[in-house]
Amino acid sequence: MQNLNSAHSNPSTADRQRPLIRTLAIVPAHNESATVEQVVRSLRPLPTTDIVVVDDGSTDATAAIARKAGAIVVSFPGNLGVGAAVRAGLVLAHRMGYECAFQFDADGQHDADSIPRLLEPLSVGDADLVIGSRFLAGNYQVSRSRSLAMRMLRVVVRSVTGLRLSDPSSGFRAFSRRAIDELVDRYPTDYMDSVETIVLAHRIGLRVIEVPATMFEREHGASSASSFQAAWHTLRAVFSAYITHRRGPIGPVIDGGDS
Amino acid sequence: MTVSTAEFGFLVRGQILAGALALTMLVLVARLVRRSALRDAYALLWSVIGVGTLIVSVSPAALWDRIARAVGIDSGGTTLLLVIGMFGVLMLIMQISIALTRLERLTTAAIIGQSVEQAIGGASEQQWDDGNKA
Repeated sequence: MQNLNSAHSNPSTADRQRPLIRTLAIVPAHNESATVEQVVRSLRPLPTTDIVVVDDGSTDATAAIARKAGAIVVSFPGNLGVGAAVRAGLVLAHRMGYECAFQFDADGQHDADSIPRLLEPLSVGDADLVIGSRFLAGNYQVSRSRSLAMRMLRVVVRSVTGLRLSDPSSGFRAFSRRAIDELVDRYPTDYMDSVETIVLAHRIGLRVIEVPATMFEREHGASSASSFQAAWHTLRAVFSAYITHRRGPIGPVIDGGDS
Repeated sequence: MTVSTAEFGFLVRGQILAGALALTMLVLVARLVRRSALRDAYALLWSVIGVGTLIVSVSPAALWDRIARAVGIDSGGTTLLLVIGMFGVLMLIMQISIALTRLERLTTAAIIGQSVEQAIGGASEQQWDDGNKA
């Protein structure tokens, strides 16, 4: 099994990630039994990379399939949300001393070939949080309402942090050692973790950058439900980003309320 | 300023109803406390609310009318009590939201910690092969 890497290694992948740093692939998964095996397999050829699938209270066979495909599986007893799943990945990365970690969707919309590019700024020490943007890569099509929502997120992120990010809601992102250490106790688990995290990371003083990344259209599951839900979703994300910016001193999320 | 007997009778009957409701609440709180279904702080809170409601229900309506006028509510003591009650209820709900938020964060953090430890304990050599052997 140890030789599986060298045997299956994708040369371009191995060559581009220059110093071999211990990396944790964090795959949050909620009822993704249809795609999780393929996703884990696509990550296996990466050098010095362990894969953790965080099963966020799935009611299907996601956990068993992921384990069989060779991933470490963290299983939640119930559905806690994607923010909690990513945090669990960061906790594992912190606990086991990984030098970097990246988040990768279990639904097959992210592209394993884009990972070296995502990790590159971390290995040269240029950034702490790297966002993979589907829009920098070229013509990714989104519906008009989606596009409007994304524009709103872009505007709010820019207005509170000054960062010009084309795809702030992207779930394809990498964390440096420093980002892992800083975020492990306060990664937002309330709601839309992706946009909030950018604002939080910026406030903490982490360097946030964006790189192009290929993304595929989702094959399984409905990404956006009704337009009303999408609008509500966007409103909450904008609000979350804004209050993350305005909130008082940023300590660990659990603030001993009565201490 | 004279109060007719009919009106007086109505007020008294209304007070009986309010008093009965307040008593019901106190009995309920007492039972919940005995079953230790309420944390001490909440038990105290609800007892205070129950006693407060009981006192208000037996207090003369004219008194509340006077207080209402003094604070600028012309439509009478009933309105004043409604406003106070509504405000109290909103505050209580807010308190619950705060407690719930705290509870949720604690629970989430605890579940994350425990699930991760379990995964570390249960992961086989093979799953760690890449990163850990580097």
